[in-house]
Amino acid sequence: MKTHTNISKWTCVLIFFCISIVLHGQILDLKEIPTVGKKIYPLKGKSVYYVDINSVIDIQINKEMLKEKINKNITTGNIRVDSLLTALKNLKSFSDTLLVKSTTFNNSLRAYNRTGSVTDLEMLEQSLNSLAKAEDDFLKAYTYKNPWLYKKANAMFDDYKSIAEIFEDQVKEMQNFLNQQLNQAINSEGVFVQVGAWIITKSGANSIHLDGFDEYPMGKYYEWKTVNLQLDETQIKELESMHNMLSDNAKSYDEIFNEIGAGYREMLLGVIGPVNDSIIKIFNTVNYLIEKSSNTQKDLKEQLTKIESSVKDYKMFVKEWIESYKNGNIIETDKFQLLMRFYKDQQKLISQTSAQFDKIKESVIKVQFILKNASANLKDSVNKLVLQVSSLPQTIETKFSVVLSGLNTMVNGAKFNSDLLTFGDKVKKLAIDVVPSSTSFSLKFTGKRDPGDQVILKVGAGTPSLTKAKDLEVIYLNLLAAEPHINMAVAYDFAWPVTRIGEAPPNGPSYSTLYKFRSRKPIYRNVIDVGLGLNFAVFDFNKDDIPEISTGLCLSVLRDYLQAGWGFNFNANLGYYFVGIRIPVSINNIYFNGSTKDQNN
Amino acid sequence: MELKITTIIPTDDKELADRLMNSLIYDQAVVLGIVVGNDNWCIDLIQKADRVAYARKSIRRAVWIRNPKLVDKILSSLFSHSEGLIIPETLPYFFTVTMADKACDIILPGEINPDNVSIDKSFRKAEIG
Repeated sequence: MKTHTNISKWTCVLIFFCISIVLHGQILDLKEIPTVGKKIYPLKGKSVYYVDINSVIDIQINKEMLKEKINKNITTGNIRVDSLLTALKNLKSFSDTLLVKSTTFNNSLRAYNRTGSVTDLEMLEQSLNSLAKAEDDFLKAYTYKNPWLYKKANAMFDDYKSIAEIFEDQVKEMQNFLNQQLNQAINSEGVFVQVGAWIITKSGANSIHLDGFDEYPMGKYYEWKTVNLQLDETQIKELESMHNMLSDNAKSYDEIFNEIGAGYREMLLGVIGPVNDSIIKIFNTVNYLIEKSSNTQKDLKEQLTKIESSVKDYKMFVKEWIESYKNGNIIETDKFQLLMRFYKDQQKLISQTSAQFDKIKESVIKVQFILKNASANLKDSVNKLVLQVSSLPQTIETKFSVVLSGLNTMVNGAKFNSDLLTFGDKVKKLAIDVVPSSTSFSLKFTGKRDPGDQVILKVGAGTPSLTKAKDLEVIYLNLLAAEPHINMAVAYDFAWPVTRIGEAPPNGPSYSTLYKFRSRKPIYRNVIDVGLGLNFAVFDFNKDDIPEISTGLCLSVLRDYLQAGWGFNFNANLGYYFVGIRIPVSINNIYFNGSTKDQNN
Repeated sequence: MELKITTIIPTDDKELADRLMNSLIYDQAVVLGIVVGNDNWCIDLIQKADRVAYARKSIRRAVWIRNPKLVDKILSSLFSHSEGLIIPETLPYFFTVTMADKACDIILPGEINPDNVSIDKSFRKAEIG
């Protein structure tokens, strides 16, 4: 019995050509190519993916699906486009059938060659019969009817090509023919296609250059560090705040955990609270000045009244803002929607603040001028007012940018409202037949970004009669530090020395150098996020008010909010177990609670 | 003339001719495309049949019987099992044989020589059975 060695080869050919015309559900067929390792991650079948922050994204354009979506959304009712799409679907159905039948036939042939049994022979006959019928159907539908296909098939037999190769070619020829016709039909309606990409960071949305699709320049190079052995500015402030907050050891664990659970909404109010306090102070200073100014100084009174009125307006604005958050008027239960609302509110607050305070500053300078010869007390008050008025807008902007950064990370995985993103002037409007079949971009050329930021890819199409392109597909890529990396984490540690010293456990601020494992699972990266490494802490074991350095091995979970391990205090010559926590002081990005609803409960 | 997958049946050794034919028909799970005769039409056809058989070489074979008298009994048995087909009275001719050893489709010389696609169609009829 002759064995058939080339079966798998031509099966592969057949599978390849069938797969190549399979109509996937998405226009954009994406692959993530990480900078570390050889593994390539296909991104298929979803609209939201998690990718490493430094990866390259390869994009293939599924033109059949693009045309199908154009027909559904743009050229609805065009009979020619409809019929050509149906013809393409039929062609796909034929090729799918061929794939199934040939696979069955090859399996049967392999089984028969192995056993030579009568049963397997019968199976082989049946599967050959079935495959031949499917081929005959295809030939009747296409090859026998189209002289150019017939001629091509004849020529391929002359070249000793296999049946699989001949059918692959016939399908491709037919597919090209139908696609050309379809392109013409779509082009006759003036349809254009646009593909765009944006990166959403805490500083806003920026376009990403896609070769072949736009005329944007390449973005700024920025590589997110996978080995980070230095505390950043925020972490240093966080460490400092925790130290100040807890150094007197006055708070019990209960209090600390209550603070952690205080909730996101309280955090917002915690930020706006000081702003409100500043306004009250300004208001009081103005009233004090009004009270102290003599009735004869009409100019002064006028200016002070102006300031008072502007501050009142501003105070009202802020009060309404606070009330809307305080009274539960916020109906968004989705974290992302809340973030968007908060983002817009913040923008409004910042612009309102700077507009109002420009006016106030003008009046304050006039007051300062009028009171240049006034008493020292009054002068002091005016100077204080100048300072308060000048610093408030900046304070607001700084405080909110920190909160926004925290929120941005908190909603990691949520969708940015892509409706807000429209194709810019530099995104090319391409006719269907000149749409490139692939492109790619490197996240390293998208500028400064952090885990939690998001990339949005959008395919749109339109006609000259439409004011803007309609979205055909939107894909979200959430950025994670997915590859293994080393980062620094700060915490406040409580130690249990091996030999007990005194009542309260020694405690103090610490930082850790942690190795983080590879993971593209958001639940892992955003919640569990295990880290292993070294912990460096400052304790006062012997209560002599002189802190001692300690070092230990550390295991961290919950995004480093909880750390535990074993360490050694070199001065006290004593080992200890420790538990470290990050405390939600205002500098932190706090995301302990789930939705805002939960926090109310 | 290059033939890659064709068995040429001897013209003067009956025993060998029978053995070869029996092996192809009864021992192997293949469909056959058989050219019977020895003229220019046959030379043209066997080359095409060879290429068409090669296109599915796992299951197709081409056979050239230049002296049919040597294997007449075998040929008769192939046609005896088929429904509605009789052995052509004149040479040359081409026919296909199913895996179940039945003559299936006959091509006779005409105004235009059959092309590869026509021969493939004939092989496919045999595969359908």
